[in-house]
Amino acid sequence: MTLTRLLWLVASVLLAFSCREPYQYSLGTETTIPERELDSSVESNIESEEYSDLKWSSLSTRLIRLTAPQYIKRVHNAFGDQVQLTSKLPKDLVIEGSIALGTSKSVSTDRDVEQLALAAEELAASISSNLSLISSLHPCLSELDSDYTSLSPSPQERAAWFSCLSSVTESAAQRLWGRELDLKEWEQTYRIIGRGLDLLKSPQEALTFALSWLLQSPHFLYRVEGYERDSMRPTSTTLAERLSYFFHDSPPDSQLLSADDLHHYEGWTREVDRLLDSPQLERGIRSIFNDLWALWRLDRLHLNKDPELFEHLSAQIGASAKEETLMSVWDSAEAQRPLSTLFTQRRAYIDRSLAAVYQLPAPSREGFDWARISEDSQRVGILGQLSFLALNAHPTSTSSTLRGFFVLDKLLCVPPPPPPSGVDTSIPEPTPDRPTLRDRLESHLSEPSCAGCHRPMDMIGLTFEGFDSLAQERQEERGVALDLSGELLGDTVYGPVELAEKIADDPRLASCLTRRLFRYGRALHETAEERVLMERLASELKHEGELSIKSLLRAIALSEGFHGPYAEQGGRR
Amino acid sequence: MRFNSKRSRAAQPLLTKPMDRRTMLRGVLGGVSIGVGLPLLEAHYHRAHSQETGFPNRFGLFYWGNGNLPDRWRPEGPGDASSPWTPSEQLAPLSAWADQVSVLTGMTVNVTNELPHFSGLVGSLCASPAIVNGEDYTFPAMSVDQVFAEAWRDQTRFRSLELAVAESYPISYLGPHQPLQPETSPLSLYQRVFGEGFRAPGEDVAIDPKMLLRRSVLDAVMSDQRSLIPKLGRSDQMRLEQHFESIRSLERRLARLEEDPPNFEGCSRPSEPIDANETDGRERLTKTHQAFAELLALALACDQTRVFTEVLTRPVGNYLFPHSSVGHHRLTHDEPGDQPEVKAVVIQIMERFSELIAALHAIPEGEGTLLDHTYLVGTSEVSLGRSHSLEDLPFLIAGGGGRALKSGVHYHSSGGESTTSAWLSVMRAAGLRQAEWGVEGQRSANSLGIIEV
Repeated sequence: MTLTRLLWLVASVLLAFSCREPYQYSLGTETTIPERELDSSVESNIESEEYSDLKWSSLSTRLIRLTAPQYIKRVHNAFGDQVQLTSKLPKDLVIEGSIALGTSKSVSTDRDVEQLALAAEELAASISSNLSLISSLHPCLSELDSDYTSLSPSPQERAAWFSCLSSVTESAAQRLWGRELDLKEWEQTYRIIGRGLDLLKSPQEALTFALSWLLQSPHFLYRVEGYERDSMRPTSTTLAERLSYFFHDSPPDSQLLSADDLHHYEGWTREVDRLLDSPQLERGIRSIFNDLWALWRLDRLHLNKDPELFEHLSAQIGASAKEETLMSVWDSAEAQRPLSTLFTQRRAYIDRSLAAVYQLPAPSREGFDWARISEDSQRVGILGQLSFLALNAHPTSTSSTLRGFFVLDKLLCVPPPPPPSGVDTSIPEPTPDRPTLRDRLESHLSEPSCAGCHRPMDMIGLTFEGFDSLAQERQEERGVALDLSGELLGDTVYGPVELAEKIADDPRLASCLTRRLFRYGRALHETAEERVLMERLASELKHEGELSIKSLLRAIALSEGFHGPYAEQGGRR
Repeated sequence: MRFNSKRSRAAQPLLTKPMDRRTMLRGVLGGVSIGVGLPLLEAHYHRAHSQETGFPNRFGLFYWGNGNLPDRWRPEGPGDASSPWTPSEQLAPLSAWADQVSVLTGMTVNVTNELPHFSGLVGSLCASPAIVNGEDYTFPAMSVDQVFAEAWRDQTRFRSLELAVAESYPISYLGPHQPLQPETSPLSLYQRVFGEGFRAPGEDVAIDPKMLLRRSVLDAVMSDQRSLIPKLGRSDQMRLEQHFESIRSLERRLARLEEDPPNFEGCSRPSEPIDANETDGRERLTKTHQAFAELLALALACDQTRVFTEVLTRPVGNYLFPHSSVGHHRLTHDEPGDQPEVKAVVIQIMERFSELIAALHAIPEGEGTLLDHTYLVGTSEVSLGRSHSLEDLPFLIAGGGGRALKSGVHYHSSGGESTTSAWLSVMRAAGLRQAEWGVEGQRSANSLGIIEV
């Protein structure tokens, strides 16, 4: 019996004894199970061996909207990277700072639909004007000896184009939707192509609108998580998409889609390992950490910093900072380094703009390169990067509160509650007696009503005071040498290097990451039971000394929380 | 009736029953020529225009984050249209418009201030407490601008327009987790409203037959509805229904563009605005806002929408205003004493509000101006930013022409009436039949009779 299966059993037994409420499997806070359906059956079945049927009993089909990058990726997978989009896609909904969580709640508003229509038409026009691409969809185009851009009055010619364009559309649908058109969809295809030929007198433009339809259809814009009627297991397509979007942030390849043993542990493990070894994993991991740490906020960083104060500020700096962080994460994942080294490593991934801020020699070649950071520097690991330090700071000055909050919330999953209302939150201006942030924060740290929540944040944040609001290293503030002492949830630390070591070693780091990865991968909140499962999974890996980003991803994907119950080979299911 | 002169002879509807012009257009397109200048049928403009003026009522929301300095905000005197209130220092930029603006002070948002800024935002604009579920928080229902948009839906091409200046932040919601994402670039707003397909009065531009294909495509998308929706869980069904509803709305908009070109005298095609992305530095806010204000005024004048929301700065927004030492939100909390820097920021915000009023006022409509047919409310989510106070919230009402609401008055609510009462006054003045609004402490059936004519 594998580790994950053992854990699942333990969690299930715990559940059987503790759960007196209707168990809503995997549905988080979104209640889609009508309670009355469960109420009567729970008590009688919960302790029988049938419980695992019960938790699947009312699962209904879920709708997950593609994010903007997934939309583009789906188009690229179908038609190649040369198809470019300039118009804007709808903004992805963010829930709790996560785009992934937003995908299962987002609703398409008037403006979204308008933007989707514009984008679809632009893409469709770009595809239909690409003759080699169209010919690759169906050879009829090259076989037809008549003008593609202008229809002659001949009825024979119209008929030939009508048939050819319908075939091209069918083939495009196969690539975009991953399936054949049904009868009703054929009718729609004929209707659009017929009207297009008659009104626009151009086969090319008629095709544009047929393709535009494929791109505006919900079959393209959403992925649907469905369940098998009899076994109540996710369908194979659902499993394939779930895994592929989790690991690669893109639709499943044909091998994954055609696998017929995804319900079996062996088959699933094989695909999990294949996807983990694929070069596409880099895209997936970048997408994950962009979402987990809300790094997309960096795109507008330069607008939130004072250009008069920071001479190294450029419109590019946010993107460079994002690249550094994502590359660091990818590098750690690819090399399967222990998770902790992400926080303790003394190297930076820099281009010229970051080199200026970090006061390191600029890379000799264009673009990015790794650079060593000296042991004297306070800059270490992910938390020494511009992305974290500048995003969690004000336009002109630092914020120990924001920096501390990020650590507690995003890294350790122990966020302090929001501030109470009606309190005077001002901190005194800097004066000769109170030159540093630490001096000015004295009241936040000593006043009992503030300190309860502020102290945990500020005492983390104050260790980073050696970096200004743009992450430039500094020794003093207003001429006074900085004191970098602080605490990590009660443990005394001095400076960001010691803090990073403490965070890297904190068991909450792995369990928090596991929980957030699960949410990302399933696009929903974990249940209390799944949380237990995820925490154990993380601590086991840590205990075995195998805690890396890849090992975590693998363990989560193999867990029944992610996959659902496995079919036993030759067994009852 | 005040339509374009060349059309004004037919002030009364030509047809007693509105004619389906789509049928007519299809007839034309089925024949030979497509480039037919469309004759104007006044029947199509005879909608819910104000009986008195011949022009429709509009609603605008001008929003800024982080509040004001309430103890020094209040103007002097109750005032009236002929002798309006005397501005405080913070309200000084509005002095030129004092006879067209009413100032409400002492209004309260009666919700638990669970999430600073957000509770006040939702409490006032939604008249109910925010939904707060751990880290997940959202609006529970339609925001006030959407109440107007819902009442006037299908009357204009766009149900409403949402804009954000300093940074993208939605405050318009259709329901929980259904934010209406704002436009942040004047150029894309221009392209959206005045781009392809738009015809200013007098322009006889051929109808693009692609418009018909676009509608066929939308019809085809709609045909998926029946096959997809029944399979889903309840909440996902609702999500997909809303998606299809948005598609229907887009279809209607395309139809309107073809069949229903604008014809108010104040309507003209604006010039192409600046690209917001090309402006940076501290002046970005002013330049973007100015470009938005001009476009909004013409979007209303051309009856492309009757509802807009402009978020100048967002709640908790930390925009670095010209002459400020640090970002706005940070200033409200950290600046000690009388907060002169916060005051300077509030004054700048009022300058922007004044520019928006001026842009609406610059467009003639009938005997008056577009401003007279617009109810423009300026408000924020807190009063004193430092303490996130929900008492004495700033609430300004501009425009309306003094017909249903008094102009130039200052009303101080000593009992701390709910902002809902003020919103009800504006709703009813604009012709909405709203018997009551809101839930719990923010629920009210009473408007502010004292500011009504």
